[in-house]
Amino acid sequence: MARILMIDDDPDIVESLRMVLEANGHEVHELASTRHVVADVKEVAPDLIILDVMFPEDPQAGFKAARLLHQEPAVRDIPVILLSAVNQRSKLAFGFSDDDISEDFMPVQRFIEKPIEPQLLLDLIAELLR
Amino acid sequence: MTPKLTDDARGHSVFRWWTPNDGDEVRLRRRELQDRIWWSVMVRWCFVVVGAVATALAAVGVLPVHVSPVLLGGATGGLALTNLVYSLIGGRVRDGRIPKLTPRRFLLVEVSTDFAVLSVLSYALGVIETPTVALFLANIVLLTLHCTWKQSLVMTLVAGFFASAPVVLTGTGVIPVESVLHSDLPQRLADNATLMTGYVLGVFIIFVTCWYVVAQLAAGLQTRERRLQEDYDRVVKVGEQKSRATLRATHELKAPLAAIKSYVYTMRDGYTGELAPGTRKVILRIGERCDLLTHRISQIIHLANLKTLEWSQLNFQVVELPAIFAEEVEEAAIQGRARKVTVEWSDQSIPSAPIMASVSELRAMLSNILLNAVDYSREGGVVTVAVTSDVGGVHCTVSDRGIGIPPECVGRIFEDHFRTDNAVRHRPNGSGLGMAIVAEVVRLHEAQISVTSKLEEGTTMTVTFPHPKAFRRELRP
Repeated sequence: MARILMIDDDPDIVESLRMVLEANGHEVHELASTRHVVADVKEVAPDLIILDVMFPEDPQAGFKAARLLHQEPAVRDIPVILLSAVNQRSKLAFGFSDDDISEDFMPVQRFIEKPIEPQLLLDLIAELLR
Repeated sequence: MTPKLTDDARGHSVFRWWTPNDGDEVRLRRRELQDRIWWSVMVRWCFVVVGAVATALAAVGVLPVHVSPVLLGGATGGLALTNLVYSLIGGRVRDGRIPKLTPRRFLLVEVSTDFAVLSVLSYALGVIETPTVALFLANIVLLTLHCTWKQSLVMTLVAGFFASAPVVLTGTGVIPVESVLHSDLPQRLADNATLMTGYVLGVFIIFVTCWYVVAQLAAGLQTRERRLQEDYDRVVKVGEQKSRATLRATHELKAPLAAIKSYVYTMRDGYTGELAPGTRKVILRIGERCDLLTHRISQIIHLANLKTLEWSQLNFQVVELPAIFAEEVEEAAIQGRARKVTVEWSDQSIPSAPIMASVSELRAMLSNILLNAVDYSREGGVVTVAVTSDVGGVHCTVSDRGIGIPPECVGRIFEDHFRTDNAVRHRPNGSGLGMAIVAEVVRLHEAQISVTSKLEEGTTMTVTFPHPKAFRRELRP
């Protein structure tokens, strides 16, 4: 149904979500790093991106990757779902929330806490690709 | 998280204890300098009023001394005129709307005109007959505190020039001698070149000595300020490093649990094939323990963070407690529905009650108290909440009719990991950290918490916040 690119360094998250997405007819590609995110996204040409926030090379790599993609005209319209294990519901002072989504700071369509319920993810993908 | 910007200039001093350094500059915070400009304008207006009254009295001959009303009025008028100009443009200087006129240059211009006015005043009041020359010292102190050492030294010498000018001009016959006490001192000074030279030298020596002493004292204060600023910057940096480390630790602990839970969802929803009932039960239990562990990790890290926090490191603002409380009540009500525990508002609750709070920490505290009340209520129980206010503060109350706390344990519920036996029996998987988090947040908010409880009948917790005006009052000037 849709080509989905997962950018996450956690192989278990990728694998568990791949099972769900492929069982529902989606084509899944994966990346473990954001180092060449713009070039990689152009190559894969996904319909939607699921992007992790924290990577070993940079705890904010996901935010930076989202901003780079947003600045690139060829890929800026691809919807992005940002995933993180740490967010506002953790009740920690440095967590983020949907309120932080903005053109300048966090140019994504949704910010979701891991782990995500499979049906919630499928519904969200359907909504963003409508 | 946008970075916090500040336009305060860092203060630092480079004076060594015995002599100022070449080319170094003393800077104070811009706001303090701007406040000082306004303060000196206000002080000048006071002198204008005194001068105007004295001029009027001199004009009608009421003063016991002989003062030329023309000279006195001229000096007062000059001061008033210049001060009016300063009042009009001072605001624009303060806001930086006159690019070439910085606050420091503005101060130098102000003081220069003060010197001219004081020179005239000194002449009008008989030069050495009155201690008018001492007024120059106030300006020298002001300059030394707010300007570079070169600027303040030059202006000190300028002050000496203006202070000596009446003596030199009367001694050279350019202007007539003025006397207010009908003594011959001014005339004798004007007629004797040696005395005149000695007077002028004396003025310069006193002024430069004053400049040097104030400069050294100021250098000491500014060195201390610089060190405090450096210590503060270090504390902020350590705080940021600690936050980054805490974030990383949180992620390292929670990410694997998130991965396990993700597999649980995948298996639960049949994406790995049909599950036998026993397997399904185990999978779900794995998921529940993951949730508990995730929650516990969050609490441990949160509590560790809170214990090393000071209130100045949080973003405190005036907030409406009822509005924030209502959002947490709604979440607690959702949690309570599974066990048919209802959360309702008391009739005595008020809709508006501002307090000073860090919103994120306030929410954590309220959430912990509410969820405690819900979790330790029996099925079908009721939790009552209220926000009230009186002269003592703003009170936030949560009452349940649950299992209660044994009397000997009430004082211990805020200890880390402490749980009463009846709490453990009622809810085996609690962490004992919720109330410890509440206690730390209460501390940071300068609030008080009271607990009343009766075993098997329920517990009431009341957090009392100070009114915004009473918050951290001891730290206000």
